[in-house]
Amino acid sequence: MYRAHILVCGGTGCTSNKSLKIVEALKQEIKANNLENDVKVVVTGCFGLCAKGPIVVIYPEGTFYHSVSVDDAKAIISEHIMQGKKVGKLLHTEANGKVVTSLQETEFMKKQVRVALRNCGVIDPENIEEYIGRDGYQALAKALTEMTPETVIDTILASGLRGRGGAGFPTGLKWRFARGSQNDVKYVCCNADEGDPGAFMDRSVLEGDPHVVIEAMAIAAYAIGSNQGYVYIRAEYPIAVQRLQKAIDQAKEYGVIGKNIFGTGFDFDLEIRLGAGAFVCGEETALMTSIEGKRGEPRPRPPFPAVKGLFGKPTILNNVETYANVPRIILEGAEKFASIGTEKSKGTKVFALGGKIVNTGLVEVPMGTTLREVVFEIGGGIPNGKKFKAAQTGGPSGGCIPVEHLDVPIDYDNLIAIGSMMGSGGLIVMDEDNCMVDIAKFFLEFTVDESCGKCTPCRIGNKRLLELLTKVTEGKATLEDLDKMEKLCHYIKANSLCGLGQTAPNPVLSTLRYFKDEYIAHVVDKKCPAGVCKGLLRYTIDKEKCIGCGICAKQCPANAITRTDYIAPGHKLASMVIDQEKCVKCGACEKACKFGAITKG
Amino acid sequence: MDIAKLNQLREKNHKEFVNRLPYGDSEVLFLIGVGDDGVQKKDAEIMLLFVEKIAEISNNARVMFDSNFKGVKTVKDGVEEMHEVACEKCVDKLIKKYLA
Repeated sequence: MYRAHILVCGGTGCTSNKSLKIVEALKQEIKANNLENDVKVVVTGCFGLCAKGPIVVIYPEGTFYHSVSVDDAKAIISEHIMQGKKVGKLLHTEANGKVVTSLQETEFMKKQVRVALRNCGVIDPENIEEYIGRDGYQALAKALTEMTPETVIDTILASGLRGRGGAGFPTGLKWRFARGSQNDVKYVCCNADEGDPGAFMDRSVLEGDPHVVIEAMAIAAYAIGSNQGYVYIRAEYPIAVQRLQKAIDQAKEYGVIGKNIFGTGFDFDLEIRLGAGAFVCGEETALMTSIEGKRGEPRPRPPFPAVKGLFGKPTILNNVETYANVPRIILEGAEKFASIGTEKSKGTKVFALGGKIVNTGLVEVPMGTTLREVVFEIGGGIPNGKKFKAAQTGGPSGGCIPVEHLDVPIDYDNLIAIGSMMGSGGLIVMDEDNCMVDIAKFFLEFTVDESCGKCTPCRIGNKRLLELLTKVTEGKATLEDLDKMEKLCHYIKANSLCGLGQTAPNPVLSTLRYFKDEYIAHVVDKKCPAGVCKGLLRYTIDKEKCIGCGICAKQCPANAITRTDYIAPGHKLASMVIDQEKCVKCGACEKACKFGAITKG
Repeated sequence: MDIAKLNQLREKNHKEFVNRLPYGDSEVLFLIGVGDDGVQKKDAEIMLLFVEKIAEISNNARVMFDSNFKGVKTVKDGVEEMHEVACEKCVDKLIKKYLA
C-alpha cells in the first residue's frame, strides 16, 4: 500500500496543457528521492474544474493544486510529500479570498452530486482492477445471477432514468420495447458521437471511466436479449477512443465480457465504430446507417429502432451518460436514484459549462438545480464584471434561457416549457457583449453545414432561414422578413425527417421569443446593440479628440484611415478619418488608439 | 472469471481507495505530526501501518501528515486528542479505540 497518492488529471483539456509531462516529472522526483514504494502517481479522468487545469490532487489529505506546471513537480515532492507542507502558490483561492485546500470545499464542487462521474478523477481509467475495486462489474454480476431480464428492465423503469442524449425518453421503456421484439439477433448501441459544439460530457466519461459504459451495455444486452454491442464514438476523441479500446480489451481478458460471463451462459461482445465527423450521425437512425457502412442519413420512423434498427434488427441506442447511471441503479436500487431530482426528471445531469463563465468545466448536479445555482454558484458567475444575458442549452438543437428564467429548476419538462431543451448537456453562457441574433446565426450556420441533405425541409428550408437571418445581421432585412422567418421555422420543424432538421430552428425561435428587441434594432434601427454584427458596425474617429498620431492608420489592415486637413484646437497634427467603404470592421484602430478617439457603434 | 474471483479482486483493490477518496467521507482523522523536520522514515512507517489497518476495518477514517505539530493526534466529532505512538501495538490500540 502507498502512503500517498498523487492524482493527475489525464482528461483532454489537462493533457493538452502538458499534464502527462507533469506525471513524468513527478515520477522522476519520486525516483530521485527513493519514494517509489511510498508514493503512487495515478493518471485519472476529469476532475471537472477545467478552467484551473492542469489539476493535481494529493491524498490522503485531498489537497487540490491547480494550474500546475512541470516545474512544480519538484516542490510537490520535496515540500508536500517529504515535509507534509502544502505548496502555497498552487492552492486555489475563491472569489471571496478564501484559500481552499480541498476540491470538495470549493464553491464549484459543493452542490455537485457525482453519479455518472463517480469514478472520474478517482480511478486510473486504464486499470480494470481499479474499476473493480470501486464495485466495478458487481452490477453485471447481480443482474446475471440474481435478476431476470424483465426485473432489470423494471428496475431501470422504476428509477425514472431518462435518456441523457437530449430527448429524455424513458430508458426502461426503450429497453422494454426491444425486449418485446421477437428476433434471434438484437443489438445494443452507445451513442458517443457528441456532436454539439462545446459539449464534452461523454468524452469525459469515456476518458475517465470507460468500464462503466461497458458494464452498462452488457446489462442492457442481457435485459433485451442481445449478445452484441457497438460504441459509436467520434474519431475526434483520440484519448477516449484509446482508453475505451483498452478497457474493452481488458474486459475481455478478465472475462467480464465475452463468452459465458461469470459462468451464466450469457455471451456479450463489444466493438468500437468510429464516426467521421458528421453531426447528423448523432441522430439514432443515421448513426445506425453509418455503422452499417453507408452514408449517415436518417430513416423514417416507424419502424423504430427497437423494432427494426441496426442491420434491420431490434436495437437500442443509448447515450454514454445514460449508460453511466445504470450500474449504480442496479446495485443500489431504483429508489435511491429516484430520490434525487424532480418528480419527472430523476437523478443527476452532467453539464459542460462554457462561454462567458469563470469556472468553465464539467459539473454534475441533481435535476431540479436552478440555472442561477449552476451559473453563479458552481460556475463562479460572469467574468470581468459583465452581466449575464442568456444561457444556451441543447447546443444547435436547443434554445436560450434569459435572465427571467434563471430560477427555473432545470429538468426536461421545464426547459421545454420555456422554449429550450435539456440536450446532451452543453451549457454556453452569454453576457451583455453577445448579440443574440449572431448567436442564433452561429448555431444555424452549423446545422446548415451539417445537414445530410436528404429531406427538402431541412436542406432547403434551413438554408433559406439562414439567408434571412444573415440579412438581419447585415441590416438588410425588413419586419416582414422576421415574420417569414418565424413561419419558416415552424414549417421546418414540422416537416423535417430527423431531429437535426426538426430542432435546427430552435435557436432562432428561442431568440425571437426572448430577444425580439435585438432583432427589431437590427431591422429598424440598423444597429447591433451588442456591437457584434460587422455589417452594422461603424467605427468613427472623433476629430476633436484625435491628436493625429497616426497609430490607427498603421494598424489598419485595409488602409482605410487617412489624414484630414482639420487640426483640432490645442493639437499640432491634423485629425484622422476612416473611409467607411474600405473599413473591414476589424476594430484594430479602436484597440490601438490611446486617446479614446475611436468609437464603435 | 467467476463471481468469487470478481469479489476477491474487489476486496484486494478496494483497499487502494481507503486513502484515495475525499476526506468528507471520513469520521475519524489520525494526524501524524511531522513538525519542521519533514516526513522521516519512522513517520512513513507509522503512516503505512495506519493505512493498512484502516483498510482492513473501515473506510470511515483518514490518516495524514501535518507539519503544524509533532506526535500523533486523533480528531473525532471535533474533539482532538494527542497520543503516544511508538510501534505497531500503539497503532492497533488506537485503531481499536476509535474504529472498533
